[in-house]
Amino acid sequence: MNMKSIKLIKKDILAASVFVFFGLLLILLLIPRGVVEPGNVELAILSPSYYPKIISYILILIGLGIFIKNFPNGFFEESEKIEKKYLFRILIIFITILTIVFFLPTFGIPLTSGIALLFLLMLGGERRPIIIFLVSTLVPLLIYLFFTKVAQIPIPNGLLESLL
Amino acid sequence: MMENLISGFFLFATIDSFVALGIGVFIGVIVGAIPGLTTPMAVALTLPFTFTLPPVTGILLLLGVYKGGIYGGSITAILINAPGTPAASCTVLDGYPMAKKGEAKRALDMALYSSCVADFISNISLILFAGILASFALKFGPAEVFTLIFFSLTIISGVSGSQLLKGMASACLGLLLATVGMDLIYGTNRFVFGQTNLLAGLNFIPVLIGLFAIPEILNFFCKKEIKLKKNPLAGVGATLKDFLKCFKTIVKGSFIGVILGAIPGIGAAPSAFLSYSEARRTSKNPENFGKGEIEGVAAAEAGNNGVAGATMIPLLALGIPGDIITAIILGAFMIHGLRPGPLMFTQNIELIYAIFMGIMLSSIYLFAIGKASIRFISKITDIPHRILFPIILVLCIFGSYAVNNSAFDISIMFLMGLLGFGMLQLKIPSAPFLIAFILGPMLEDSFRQSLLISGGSYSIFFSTPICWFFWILTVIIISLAAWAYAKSKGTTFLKTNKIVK
Repeated sequence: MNMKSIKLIKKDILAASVFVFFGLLLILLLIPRGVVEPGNVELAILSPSYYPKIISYILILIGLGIFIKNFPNGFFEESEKIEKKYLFRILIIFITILTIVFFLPTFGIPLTSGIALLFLLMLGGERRPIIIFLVSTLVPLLIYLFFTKVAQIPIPNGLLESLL
Repeated sequence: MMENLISGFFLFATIDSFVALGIGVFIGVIVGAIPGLTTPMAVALTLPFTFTLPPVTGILLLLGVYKGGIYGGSITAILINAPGTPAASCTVLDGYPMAKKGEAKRALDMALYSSCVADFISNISLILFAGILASFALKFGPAEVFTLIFFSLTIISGVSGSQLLKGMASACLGLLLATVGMDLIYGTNRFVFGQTNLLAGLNFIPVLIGLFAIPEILNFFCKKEIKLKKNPLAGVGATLKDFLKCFKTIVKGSFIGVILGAIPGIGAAPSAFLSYSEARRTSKNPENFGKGEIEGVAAAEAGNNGVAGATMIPLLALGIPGDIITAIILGAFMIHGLRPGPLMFTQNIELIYAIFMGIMLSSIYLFAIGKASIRFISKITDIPHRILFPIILVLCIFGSYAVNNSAFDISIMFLMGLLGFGMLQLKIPSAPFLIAFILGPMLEDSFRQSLLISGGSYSIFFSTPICWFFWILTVIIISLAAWAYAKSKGTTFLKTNKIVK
């Protein structure tokens, strides 16, 4: 076995597990709780839950199909070992997204976009301060001006309300 | 007849009409190219400017925006994997892989050529066959629409590649996501969970951007930048040879667009997918589709632009708006005291001729403006990814917000982005998800409407020759796909055995 490889669960099996789990979740929890059934449904076929139920069952069947297809060859495969650096970058980018979503209502879109740009440019490997400064200030401003002045779409300014 | 034609020509041949049409196409291309700014939004925003214009000039301005918008959607679909409009969602399948290979200019050129040809064919069809197509379109009831959409879904087998089962599951997820919101028959909530933003369902644009553009951005930040191999076609536009190679596909896609465009309520997206599916089925290189096949771009663009003139058929011939844009254009007619429909052909025929002339000119404008824009727009791909991807992310944030003026849509975009990223990691094809999400509402509505009409009897789906026609096509396509799948498995099996021996 290669030093950098590791035995991991097959991607097909992971996907199949997700399909079966989600299908079951829909049938047992999400459809009963999330689909409001009216009292006057004359035919079961016309009920709002009929169509999602059919698709959920199909989803489960496909998931089981993938399991069966993979059964003869086993559920594990040799994969490249995932580098810690890669996992760290995924974590960083997820945190960035959460931060953007969290601060957007307070900071407004132009400011949040500017800060996100500044951070992402550096994370992406841009090292020239002048480029970082110009891109992170001018790009959100130009897009903002286009949307508000040309397309007449009100963009929430948040903290910059008095400035813009 | 001749007298009416001459009157129509004088109605049309004013500087105002020429300028308005050009401005309209230009606005349309720009708006269509910006994710989040939809063509209906641009047409609606332009409507107030037509109030003071003569009727022909005003309507041509709106038509210019419409036609420009449909083409413009393909620009961002090809360059940044974010379709500007739902109609351009099929173009991403091959357009973006081409851009990734450095062939953005070639893809943009082909998108423009096929858009212009399809637009021209659609306009000619409008002028010559409005009456025939309108009466044919009226034969499409819910059962016929259901079989048509069901047939369109067979494309999933094509875009799933070797991952057929995962592709089908991906389509199921797309169909499920399309059910979120208020049930159209009973008016009850589905998967809303008290979140009022979900009552109207999920908007196409944040879902499309999230599913395609965001995973690409996440992938860039999580991995090192991949240096592309030197491609001899990098920076080169589409050649006459490319165009001739795709010409048959373009013409076929255009006619698919014309037929579907004439049916009220179908729209450009299903037409693009159907055209793409047909092109893939008849192509000599079906395995290249989804990996950057120029014929795929041509088919998708011909399909979605083919509807542009044809959607005017039910509007002008019957007074029925086929989609949101034609509904706005109907409003523009009414503001000027005109009522489209059979009477208009007898009472205001010169006005109809003037509009026809303007529509024909719009194809030329589209070509000129599109060609000029490609020269500058294709340079976007020269920007280093470390700068380009953060900018795309910001554009996606603004675009997702602009659709409904809702920050909730930004969250949806990111959520779909994470889902798309997860699908990418598990090698689940996202194209079937997208196709099912776009066609899903139409599939369910027509399915339930049909059963409502038939009192629950499934025989309605086999009641007319049109239904049978689509069932037969569906069976043929599925059989061919199954045969091709079995054949490829057989080949793999034989190869493996040979190696073992």
